[in-house]
Amino acid sequence: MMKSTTDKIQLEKNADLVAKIAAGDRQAFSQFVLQNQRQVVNLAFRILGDRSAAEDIAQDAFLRAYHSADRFRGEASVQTWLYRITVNLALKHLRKRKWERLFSFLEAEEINRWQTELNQHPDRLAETEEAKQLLHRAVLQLPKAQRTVLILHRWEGLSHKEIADIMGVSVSAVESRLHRAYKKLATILSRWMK
Amino acid sequence: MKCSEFKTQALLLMDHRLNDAVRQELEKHREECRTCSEYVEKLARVWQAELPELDASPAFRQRVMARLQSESSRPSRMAELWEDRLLPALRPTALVMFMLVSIFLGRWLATPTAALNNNGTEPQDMLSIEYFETLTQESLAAVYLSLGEETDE
Ligand SMILES: [Zn+2]
Repeated sequence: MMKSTTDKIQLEKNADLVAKIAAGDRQAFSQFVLQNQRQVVNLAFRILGDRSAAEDIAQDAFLRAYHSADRFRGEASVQTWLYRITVNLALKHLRKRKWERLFSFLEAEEINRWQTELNQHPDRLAETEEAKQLLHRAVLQLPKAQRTVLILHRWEGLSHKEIADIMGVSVSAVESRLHRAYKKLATILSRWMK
Repeated sequence: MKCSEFKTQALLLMDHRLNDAVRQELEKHREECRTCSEYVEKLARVWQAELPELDASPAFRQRVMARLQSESSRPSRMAELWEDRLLPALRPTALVMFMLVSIFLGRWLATPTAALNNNGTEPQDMLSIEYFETLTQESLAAVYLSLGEETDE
């Protein structure tokens, strides 16, 4: 209850800020960045798996939001709008650095280390950094559309409809991507967790 | 049900994303198969984990504001429109066009007319159908790679 009330206050504030930003108010923009930077950087990091790229993409996202604030009509929430900008930029970034995946074999050793940890201390796994890293690495192996849909649903807690709005696809497309993402991720994890 | 099939659906099972029929089948396998029931317990512990988090660096807002300051003019809407909407829409069209051109070119060069016009002055193997088939496949592969993951889902 408390959480949803707080969220609502923040969203209204966000919407007010966007209106001011549209009128060219840089002070409002600065406040807007402060309020939303943690979420935007974190979302970019979850999709990209790269700290410095995540910061760069988040900066780009805020600048783009600044320039398109006058086109924000409030059909979607400010969060959905900001997430859509961030997701678009992150996916564009992934298309550009496609070749980097050729070097993913370098991660094999790291995965090995997590596997050992997993088998030695299965009981305290969920709290460990290893479990988070293992899970994130596995998620990053998914094709980018499946990965994004899964992250938005499972860890950002968004509804199928909200995800559809963010990604510009139908709800049924979101559902089928999610289904494939769950299956593919399970297959990857089963290979790693022998 | 095979163990591999069970493992593939294990996360869907945990998050209640299966219809009753499939779910019952999986539950049945889990009860009967010791390997899978142990596996699913281990998997559940990984699945409970959060993803790692990253907060913005202390200078984040400052950097954004500095970039805003240094922008002399805003990017034109046409440029954004081109990048975000027209370009992605054109990519599949370009692939189809390329394939059509490849097919027609290959066919045209493989026809007796093209061979007759040749008069033996050019190396015959360059105009053979085999040569154009390899060319087309390689070029198609290159175009496919440049398309990014548009078709990966
Ligand atoms: Zn089994």
